[in-house]
Amino acid sequence: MAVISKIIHSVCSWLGRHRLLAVFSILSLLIVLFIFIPLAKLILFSDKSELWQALLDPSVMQSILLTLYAALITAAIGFLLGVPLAYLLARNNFPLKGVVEGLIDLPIVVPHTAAGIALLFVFGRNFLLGKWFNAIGISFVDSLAGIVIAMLFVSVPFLINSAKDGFRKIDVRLENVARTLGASPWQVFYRVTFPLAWRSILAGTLMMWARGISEFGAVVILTYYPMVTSTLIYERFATYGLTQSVPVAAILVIICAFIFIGFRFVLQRDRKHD
Amino acid sequence: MKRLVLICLLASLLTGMAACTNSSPSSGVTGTGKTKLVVFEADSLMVPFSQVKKEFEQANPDIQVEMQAHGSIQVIRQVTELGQDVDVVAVADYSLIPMLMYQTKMPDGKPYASWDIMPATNQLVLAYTSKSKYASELNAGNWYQIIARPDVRFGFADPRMDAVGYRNLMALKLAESYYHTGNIMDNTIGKYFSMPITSNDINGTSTIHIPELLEPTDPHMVLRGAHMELLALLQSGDIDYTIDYKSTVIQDGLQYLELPPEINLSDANLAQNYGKVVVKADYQRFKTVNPVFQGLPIIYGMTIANNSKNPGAAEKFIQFVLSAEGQSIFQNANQPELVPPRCDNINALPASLKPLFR
Repeated sequence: MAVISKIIHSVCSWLGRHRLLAVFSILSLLIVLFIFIPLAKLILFSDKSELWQALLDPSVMQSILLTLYAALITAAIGFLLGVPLAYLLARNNFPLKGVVEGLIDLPIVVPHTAAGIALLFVFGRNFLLGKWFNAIGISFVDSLAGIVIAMLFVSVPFLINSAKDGFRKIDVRLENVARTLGASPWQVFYRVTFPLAWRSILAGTLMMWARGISEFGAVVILTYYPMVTSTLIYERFATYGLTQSVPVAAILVIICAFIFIGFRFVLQRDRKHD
Repeated sequence: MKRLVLICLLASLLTGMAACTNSSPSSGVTGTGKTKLVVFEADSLMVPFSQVKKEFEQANPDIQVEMQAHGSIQVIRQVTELGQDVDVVAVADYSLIPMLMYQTKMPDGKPYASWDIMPATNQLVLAYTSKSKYASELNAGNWYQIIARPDVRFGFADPRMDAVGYRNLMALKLAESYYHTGNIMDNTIGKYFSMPITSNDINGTSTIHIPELLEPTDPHMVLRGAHMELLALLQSGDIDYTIDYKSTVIQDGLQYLELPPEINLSDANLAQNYGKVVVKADYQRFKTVNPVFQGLPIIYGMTIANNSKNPGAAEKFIQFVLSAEGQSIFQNANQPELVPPRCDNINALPASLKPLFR
């Protein structure tokens, strides 16, 4: 009895001393459970044989690999075009900058079916860009190119915003010092700015990749086949029902969990080295 | 700025909590105290039903209609498999209600529906635009040859999810006997999949088999889960032709070619002719029902789910659809009503709807 009251007493006194920590922990626990429980249920919904069957189904693996690959291409394009824009936005003032910044956030807000239709009306065969690309043999309907532009449209804001914040955090004086020591603007960017903003850029690229993997609404308008995993889950649900679609979703969640938790570990180790 | 954002967040949190506690979805009442009526409809009904919603809510200020549109098969599965609380179900093929709702039982052992009202019809047309390949030479005598050309892009809705899809297969099969030309279905749709859609004829009945996997093998075939997506692809020039309902094609402002009544599934007097075609899925589907789609005239079906939270409001809604106002909305949407509307099981109807069928 005395032991229990002692424990209660010490817990209470700990809570008394760390009230902020205690309150924040309870709130944090709620949101973590909110994310964790549905995902866990998704994985536990199917029995082992159903999961195994889906894992051995070549169309499931093909579609997961296609999704990861298409989102990776998308992230690479976003990196190439988004980082320069983020740098300009962070370092320079120009007319209508606020408009540009607001515009970049729009793809996050626009319903994704609308985004898909908007892209169709630019990259469709009757329209300008679609006509040009068709002339060189690239079609955006039912093709990898279609998947990539749909993913790019909805995911690139994450990279741009994250990289922009990264560039902003860098002390401009460091760049100025490098300039006075004789470095060219390119050298400054490559040797000073980019390495200092690297972690934000990487985090943004990861977020962009992740967002690309999850995209459904915009992709399905442009490209039904080849099937990305979100389309496959939808198709399985529509034709066979829950029992066939949930294992596919579960496998995607498991694979993504490994990838993203893995990345966190790597990033954390990096941080310790700094 | 910081304070403003915090105040906004806090205010929305508080009002949100209040709204959530006010409305109790289990009793079908909205946050504003109005009766909530949930209608799930076939996506080809979206245009007339959005007008029906507007006028119905004006006439019944105490009812708020919430609508969701899906492919017809999906509409029913939202109810029977996902357990969504739905009051009115309206689909583009009346035969789906007996097939998927009478035969599927609710947890208490009763079926999900027990009657089927048929309010409207439709017909298939060949939709295209002036930019479609070979549009300049298209006519009533050669359309079936043009859509089968390998360099034409044909849009096809997945017949496992969308009634337009299996009706495409039926129409093209019917075209074969009408034009005395073999393989129209195969050459337009069937052979363009890694596992082909095939058909066999026994005693004058053609049975079309949908394989387990539908994966197009050629740019000729553009497959989508829902026919509405195909109409967008037609406008963007990414398909040349698709066979769809006349009402939705007109609503989208597209050009179309009328198909003969023997093919377009519009004429109730030709039901026997349409019945010579059957579409079957070659795999076990859904938990309990393995559907077979019989060739039938296009007639829409409407019912109230047996687990409806607001059967009274649902009955009013159906009365409105069948009323003169409702019928003129359908006419304005270029969708012909069924005159007179029919019902398969008048005895099971709620008392307020029975007089409409006497």
